[in-house]
Amino acid sequence: MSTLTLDGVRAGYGRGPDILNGISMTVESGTTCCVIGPNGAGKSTILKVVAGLVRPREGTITLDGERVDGRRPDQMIGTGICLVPQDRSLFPEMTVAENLRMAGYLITDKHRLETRLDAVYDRFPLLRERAHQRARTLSGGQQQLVALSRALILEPRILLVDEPSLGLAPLVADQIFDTLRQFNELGMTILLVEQNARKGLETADVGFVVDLGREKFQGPADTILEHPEIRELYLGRRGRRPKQGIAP
Amino acid sequence: MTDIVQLLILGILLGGVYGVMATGLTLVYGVMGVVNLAHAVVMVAAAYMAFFMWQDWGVDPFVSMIATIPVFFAVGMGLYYVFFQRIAGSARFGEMTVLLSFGLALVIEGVLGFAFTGIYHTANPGYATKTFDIGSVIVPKGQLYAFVASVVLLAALGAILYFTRVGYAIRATMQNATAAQIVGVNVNRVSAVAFGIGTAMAGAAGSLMSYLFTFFPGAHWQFIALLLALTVVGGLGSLRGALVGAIGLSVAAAFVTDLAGPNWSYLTFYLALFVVLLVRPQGLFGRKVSV
Repeated sequence: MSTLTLDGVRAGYGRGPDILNGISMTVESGTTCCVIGPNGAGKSTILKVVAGLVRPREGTITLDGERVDGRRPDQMIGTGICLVPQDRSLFPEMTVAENLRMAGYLITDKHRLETRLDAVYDRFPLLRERAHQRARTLSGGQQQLVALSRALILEPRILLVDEPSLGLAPLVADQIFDTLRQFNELGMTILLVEQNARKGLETADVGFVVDLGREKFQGPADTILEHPEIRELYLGRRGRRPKQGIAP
Repeated sequence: MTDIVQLLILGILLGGVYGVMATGLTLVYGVMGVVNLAHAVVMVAAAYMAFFMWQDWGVDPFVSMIATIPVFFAVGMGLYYVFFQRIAGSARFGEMTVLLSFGLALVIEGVLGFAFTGIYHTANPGYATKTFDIGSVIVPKGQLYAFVASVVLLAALGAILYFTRVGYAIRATMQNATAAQIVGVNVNRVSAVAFGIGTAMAGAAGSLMSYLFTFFPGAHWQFIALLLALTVVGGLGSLRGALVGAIGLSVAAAFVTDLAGPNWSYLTFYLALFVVLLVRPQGLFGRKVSV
């Protein structure tokens, strides 16, 4: 288990403006941290910076005290940081089995790779059934399952998950959040970005509210769920309590 | 009936060679999004190499592939690291690579013209003008051997892409470069290897070209136009599409030549390109891109 720390990170795309404006946060070992915030707040950019897809312009990123910022994505994988992006990023013309094997691209020990593949198939028998089906022909939920299962192959120290419920039916989204809980129980430290703030926070231990590329609030997820201002701003109308229920 | 069989055979034999030429081009596009306009001039350069190996040392064009494939693999890797890697992060990478490869084509053509002048060359091994006569059907030996070599080359490329670690990485990058990065593929290195393989295929095609066609430094414009037509018809970036496009259009061109004369042969490729762009812009095997 590992602790991830961002300290004063500034980052943006190309020559464009900063999307992250000196953000600092810590994801404690063994926890699930959910980042919430409005569209354009920089939530996904946090994950891309940590995964090495976007280089920070300023600030540091450390994993268990070791600086990892500025490394290439493939080097980040070697460090133990794995990203499941918003679009799931599968290889559409490859089969489920080939997609899972690609996840083990950096694992040179064949026996170790086979053991991990078996473990994935045992955990998700559906994937064994669909092993020879092309990824592009799977449903959204099944594609998300393959994307998350790649993380099991890699056994990362930090798992970054971007909007796992995007485009999924509520029931399927619930299954995906259950899967994330299982991963956390296996000891994975998870940094989750989720537009469905309520669902994300219910899955997480810690919540992190970001706006305009800066941290706005952080604390235990259940505290954030109860925080009146955050409920008003980020959790939508369903989050509002009757007036008499608001704490002074 | 004999005529149809004859035309089919000629079209398929030549289509196999075009397939080798086109797969290198489409592989590079598929991995990096580079429309390499210098692909055909590399073929011409390789054809010169094979020609002089045959003329000066008596090396058969097929045997010359032992040299043209590794040499042009190294040339491709070098071109990638020196020119294309520098602009890899650019927002206008696609447009810049068209200009860059166009410039490269002009420079290489100029160097070839300076070194070998503009006169036509062609190697003339014994089999180049001989035929197998099967009943009333004539199979040119040179084209048949070139087709067999093409099948072997394409099978070797397939084996690399489907059964090796680097091949998996290339295919993964072709399908989704970001996804490849996040499973640990060093996309920059894979791009260099893919560019090397694509250029090596052009090198091998050059060896075949050295005796199948007469060539001169400026001959590459005709070839690149033809190769772009058949790769776009097949679907840019699709290896299967490049093969189907090459063989399909080559057969069609053989029939058109028979019906309307050789002057109309090239029109077949461009007419097919025109129709495909109107009806199915992503090509026969290409994937639709939405914005």
